[in-house]
Amino acid sequence: MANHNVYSIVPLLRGDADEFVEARICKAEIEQSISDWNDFWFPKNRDFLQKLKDINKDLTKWPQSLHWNWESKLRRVARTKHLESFSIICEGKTQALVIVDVSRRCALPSQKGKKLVYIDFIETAPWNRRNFTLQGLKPAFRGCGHLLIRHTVEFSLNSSYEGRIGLHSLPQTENYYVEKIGMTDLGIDTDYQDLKYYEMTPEQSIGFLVRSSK
Amino acid sequence: MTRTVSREWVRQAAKDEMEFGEEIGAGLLPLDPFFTRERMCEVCNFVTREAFGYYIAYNRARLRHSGITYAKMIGISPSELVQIENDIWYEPSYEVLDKLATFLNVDRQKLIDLSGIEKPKCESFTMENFLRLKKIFRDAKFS
Repeated sequence: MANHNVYSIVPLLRGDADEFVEARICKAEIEQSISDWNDFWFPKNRDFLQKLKDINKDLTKWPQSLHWNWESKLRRVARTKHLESFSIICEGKTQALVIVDVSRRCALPSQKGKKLVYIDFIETAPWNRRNFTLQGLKPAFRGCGHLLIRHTVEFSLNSSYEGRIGLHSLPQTENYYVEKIGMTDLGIDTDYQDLKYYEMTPEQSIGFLVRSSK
Repeated sequence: MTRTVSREWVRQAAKDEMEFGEEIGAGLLPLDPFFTRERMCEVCNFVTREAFGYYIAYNRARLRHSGITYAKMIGISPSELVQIENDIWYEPSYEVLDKLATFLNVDRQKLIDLSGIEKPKCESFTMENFLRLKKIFRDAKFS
């Protein structure tokens, strides 16, 4: 089925086997994404939440995005010009979602005032979470979050933003964006729920894209 | 133009995510402005807050009031009503809750519990209730 909103076909790694399957990264189809969130993501999150409560899991270990309502977030995208959303589709389901804002500007001194692509929200499907089952089972697909960040970087490059991206990290993920993605830590943003803010420069974006591809 | 994503790149990305040990995410935390970095999230509050919005919207639609009419009736702005029904960060005042309860003819304490302004969460409100309410709301196809 041809779809002009498909940006790329990417290999996705199964969590329980060293096997790749083909996935599409595309502009999120709002209604399909909402339907997947309501029909698949939400019930899984509900069960997971119940499980966390049942076993008295330390609150600090709960995924901090469990409360996100993608239905309202995606509806906002549909009516807001400067927001875009992308999804990874594999085996007929939405595997990860990201919302980006193209109206923001860099805070990093060397890039001050230049436009960047800001990651507003990014989340993988519940069954792709590392600790989703709490039973030692592996996630269905691995690397979805990374792939969407990569797509955001490519979107930034292709939209004349030269690869610049920015985001506010959830506390659980703070070190990840420096250690694994190669972004610059700009410290706590007191105007944004005291979350840490990170940016990626054009040079860092190239490093991120070519990493491991040798 | 998009670069081809190599399998090695994906394999490394997957390895990085698994090694990191926490869920990857960027965006807002749930309980602004009460949420602190130390306290982490209390998802129940989100659930009841969202249910609160559905509950108000459902009862308003049941009585066939438009948003604008209803906002006028209880003396708030239409945008505040939109916040009440859709924004899980919104905290209604007791005065607003009283008006909502009176005009919708619903239990005041239930609204207070659902709004989460007295307790961090409403233990009596279960996830099943929430889903039932959400389903009723979605199925009702109110404009």
